[in-house]
Amino acid sequence: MKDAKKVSEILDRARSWKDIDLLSLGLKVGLEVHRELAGRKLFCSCPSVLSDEEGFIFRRRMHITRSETGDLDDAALHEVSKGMTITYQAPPTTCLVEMDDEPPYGPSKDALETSLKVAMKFGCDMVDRIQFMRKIVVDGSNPSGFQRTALVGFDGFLFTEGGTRIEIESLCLEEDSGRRIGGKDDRPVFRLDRAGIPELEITTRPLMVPPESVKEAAMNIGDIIRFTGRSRRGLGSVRQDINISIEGGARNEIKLVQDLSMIPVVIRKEAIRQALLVESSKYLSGMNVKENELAPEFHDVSSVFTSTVSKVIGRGMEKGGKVICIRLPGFKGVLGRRMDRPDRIEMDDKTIRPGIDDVRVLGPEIAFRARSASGVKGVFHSDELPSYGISKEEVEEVASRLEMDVSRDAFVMVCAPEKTAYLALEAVMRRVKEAFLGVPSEVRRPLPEGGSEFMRPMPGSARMYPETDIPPLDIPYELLNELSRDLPPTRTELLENVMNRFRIGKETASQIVDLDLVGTLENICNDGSSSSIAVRLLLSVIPEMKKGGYDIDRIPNEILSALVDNVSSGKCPRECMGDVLVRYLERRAGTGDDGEPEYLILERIVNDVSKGMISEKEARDIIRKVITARENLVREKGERAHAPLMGPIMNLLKGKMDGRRISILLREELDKHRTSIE
Amino acid sequence: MGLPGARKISDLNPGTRLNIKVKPRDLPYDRSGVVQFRNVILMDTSSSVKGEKVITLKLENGYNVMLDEERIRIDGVLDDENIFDSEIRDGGPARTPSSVDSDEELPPITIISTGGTIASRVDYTTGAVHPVKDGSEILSIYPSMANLCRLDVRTVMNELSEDMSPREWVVIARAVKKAFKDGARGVVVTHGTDTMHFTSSALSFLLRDLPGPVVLVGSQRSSDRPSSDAFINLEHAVITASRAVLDRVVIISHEGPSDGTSIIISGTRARKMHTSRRDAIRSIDSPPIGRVVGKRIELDIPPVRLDPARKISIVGRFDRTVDMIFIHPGISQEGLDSMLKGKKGVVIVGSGLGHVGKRLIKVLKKHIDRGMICVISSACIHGRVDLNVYSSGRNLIGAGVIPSGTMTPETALVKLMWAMGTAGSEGKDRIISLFKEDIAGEWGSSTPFSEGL
Repeated sequence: MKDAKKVSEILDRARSWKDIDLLSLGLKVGLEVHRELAGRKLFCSCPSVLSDEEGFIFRRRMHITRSETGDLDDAALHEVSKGMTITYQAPPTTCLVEMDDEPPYGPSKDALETSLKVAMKFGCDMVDRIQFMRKIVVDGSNPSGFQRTALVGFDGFLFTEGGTRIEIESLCLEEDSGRRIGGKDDRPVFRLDRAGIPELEITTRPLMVPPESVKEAAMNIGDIIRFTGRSRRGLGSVRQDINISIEGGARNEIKLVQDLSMIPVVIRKEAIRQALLVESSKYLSGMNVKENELAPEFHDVSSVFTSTVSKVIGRGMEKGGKVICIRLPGFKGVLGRRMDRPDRIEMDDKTIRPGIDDVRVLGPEIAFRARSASGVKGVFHSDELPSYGISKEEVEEVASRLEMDVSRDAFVMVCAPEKTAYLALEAVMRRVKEAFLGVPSEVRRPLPEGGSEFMRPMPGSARMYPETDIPPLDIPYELLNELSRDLPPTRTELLENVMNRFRIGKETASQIVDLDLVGTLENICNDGSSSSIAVRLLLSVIPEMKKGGYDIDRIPNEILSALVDNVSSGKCPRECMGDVLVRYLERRAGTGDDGEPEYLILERIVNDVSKGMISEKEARDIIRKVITARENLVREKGERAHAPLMGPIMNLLKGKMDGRRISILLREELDKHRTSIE
Repeated sequence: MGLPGARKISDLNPGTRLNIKVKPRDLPYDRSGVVQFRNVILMDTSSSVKGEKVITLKLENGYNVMLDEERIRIDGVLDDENIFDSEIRDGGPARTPSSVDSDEELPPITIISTGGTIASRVDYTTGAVHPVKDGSEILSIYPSMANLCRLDVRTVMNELSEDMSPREWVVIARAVKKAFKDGARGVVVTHGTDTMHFTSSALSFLLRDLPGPVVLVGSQRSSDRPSSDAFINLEHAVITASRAVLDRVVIISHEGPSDGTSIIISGTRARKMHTSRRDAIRSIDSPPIGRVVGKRIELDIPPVRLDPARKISIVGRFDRTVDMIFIHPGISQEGLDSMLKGKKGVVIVGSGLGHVGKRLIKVLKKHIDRGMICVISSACIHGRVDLNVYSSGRNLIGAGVIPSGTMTPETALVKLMWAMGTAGSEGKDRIISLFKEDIAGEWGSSTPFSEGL
């Protein structure tokens, strides 16, 4: 196995898990970006909003017939089909369609057009007719048991901000599933507020780029959807599925990575996991394990533990459980850490590189498979024993009962009722067989620190068949032509546009874009000259008020816009913007709607706030007095006297006039003064 | 595009696997380059837009795409088997034979398959829902049935609900009779839900001296869906047929939107009240006669004793020259007159308590006087027909109509068909006396209050 040797070399060469060169491992990453759209749902006219209400509660059972999941093995199928009962909450924002008690309505025109616009922005080729498909889902999240999805465009591309070319394989328009609220694994509870919300799924071709570029690609792809102005905001409205493989490994899909910043870590950890599995498989293939050694042979070793001090086992046996064991031929050391494998050179604690040498891969995966197949908690393997109160003597006794070669073999032990234990150990043996082949293809769930755990085997394409309740939809040229006049910008394009239009720097523009404030800025900023006031309002005044607990959302854009105008024309000092808004909110809260027009309310507040202000003439008088008093300074420093004079003048005029205005007046008065002297 | 004489994709058989190249469609932006798709499956070549053939292809990732034929160039036909000829389309071979060796202790149940959603399966390649070909397929879809009873599945027809007619009712009745004669403890009839309540009424009038329950059951969602109600409906029907102490025709339906509890509805009191909900079939003007909760049966009627030795019989037949007319404000005298021409019997679905406008009463009277039998039912569905409250009702009575009590319009129709067919040449009085006889609880003695309608 050439691959495996190369993998070992790369792992050995690395100084830490963080600097392993993933591209030399043959890393390939496929990205799926999911982003929900706002408006109405895809197949009914319910609003795409989440609800705090439980609403009507009903329960359903899902049934999976063999044919729909040709890829599920019988045991897994058994697990799914043995009668999972799902509780659904249908809040008042939902209807019979989400409940799967009414056929779907035609797809939302808005969502469809947004999907076409985004596909066009990627320069995709398009289908001539859109056909919705039913994708079978086994977890109960869709009351129908499938997710409706349609492929709209294919073969597009995008250049990221950093200049990486990302090939887009396909763009699909699909419905989101119900929202998991709680419940145990076999009795989940879903709320249907999220079910049916349209979302775009954009799938890239395999990317052979550094993990950081994948993150950038995810952000830039998501941005284009966001910049249509039709995307939904809020928790869970955007998420990524990441397909990762290395050379000699296999495609594994890490589902639902929500935090963009985690993408590089997720990729790195998965690549290393696969590298370690490839290494293990190479080692195992050298152990000359025969096919017949891999037939599951269960041994009841309960009698070894009749007087055990292990609490886990003792408790399990009290409840009528048995301790059942299987031998894993050639597995000695493979279930534990990389450094513990017999083919590794001995290491001392100082040389252990975290994230490489101390990673346990197969042990936890085997235990997890056992647990997900049967629900048992007590799964132990010999590489981690003695431990959990299980003694060395007990381990040795089990080994001798299994007639195993302790220098070569390992065992896995389960404490559970007999039938459950068999289910668990059968799942173990399936995973063990896969270990010889290398990396199994799985759908995995991300863990908070960037790792992942098994969810289900990778589904094949057999899970999809046409949604006959929705007739195929023609996509005529005329429609595309019309929509092409209103395509969303890329991030780079939008930044440039914002910078030019509002005459602001890149950093400020990025903030405006990231906070989704471009539209607001457009609304409140009537001309380029006032943009600095508007930016200050949006990026500093309002965030500060938010921190102070003010309900900013109650301030309409027209008020913000009028405020910007007032500041821009000098009616209201810049420093007072926060003050004006606070008074506005207080006024609104106090009186309710008394029918007074908004602009009048604002005008009155601005007048109140600027009551203490003085006229330009008064201000000039004061400034002149200060200049005269500091005659020497002015003579000595000339123009540069401006700075030292600002302090004393501000002390006198603070709150009575806009600071910038004072500065301008001071400069004018200084000039006059100096000319008059000359 | 393509070489002269190159094969067109529409010349290939659906189900063929092939590699293709696709050139861009007309787009409002520049796009060059051809996209390759490998290992796609040709699904369909029959649709077209504006004279342009549109080809449906299944991509390797499972999605179907529909592309104009002239964009597609064949880049090699893969010589694998045609997948439409293989078992893939039906989702693998049926795994269970038509009768199952199961515990001899379990009660013998016959399932009579007549078609409808419950007895359909999906073609996973096209998505089209097809009726099952024979009863054994039902068992392959619902293998867990074998744990509840000894099953014998018989397919007597393969009709959608809307294609049922009185002829089919009789075929089903004969099959039920035969099943009991062959030793069934109970019989389950799988049936489309749309007209199931007609069939259940018909069987209620035809089948006498039942030795056990006859349970009609359908589903509102096809069995390809993991969420299908077919599984639980069939399970509850089989439980009812094998355990319930009942000697009548009943329908099993979801009690509410949840899976888990079903109601048992008397065959003459059922009606489909919703186009799509799982709990569409309700018991009208009479509470359900029982429920199935999980695997437990709760009956709410006076107990009966089942006699396996009872000789089941079929009584009567149906006259098809009966019609049903829904009265509305726009109906004219001429219109009604032409609808009634040649009819020997009619069920008038009147408004409110059973009313018909006075201009129409004359027309009815004319036809009643020539010998037509006229039964009055109500468009309200719920509540009793009463023709004594208003003068128009009294005028109807004067014209010689027969009010149908709390019967649904459908039950009244089936009852009238049955009464006319059964009376044969015995004349009008015999028909009326048969119609007024309470055979299967269709003449309710009272209308109890129920929450909601």
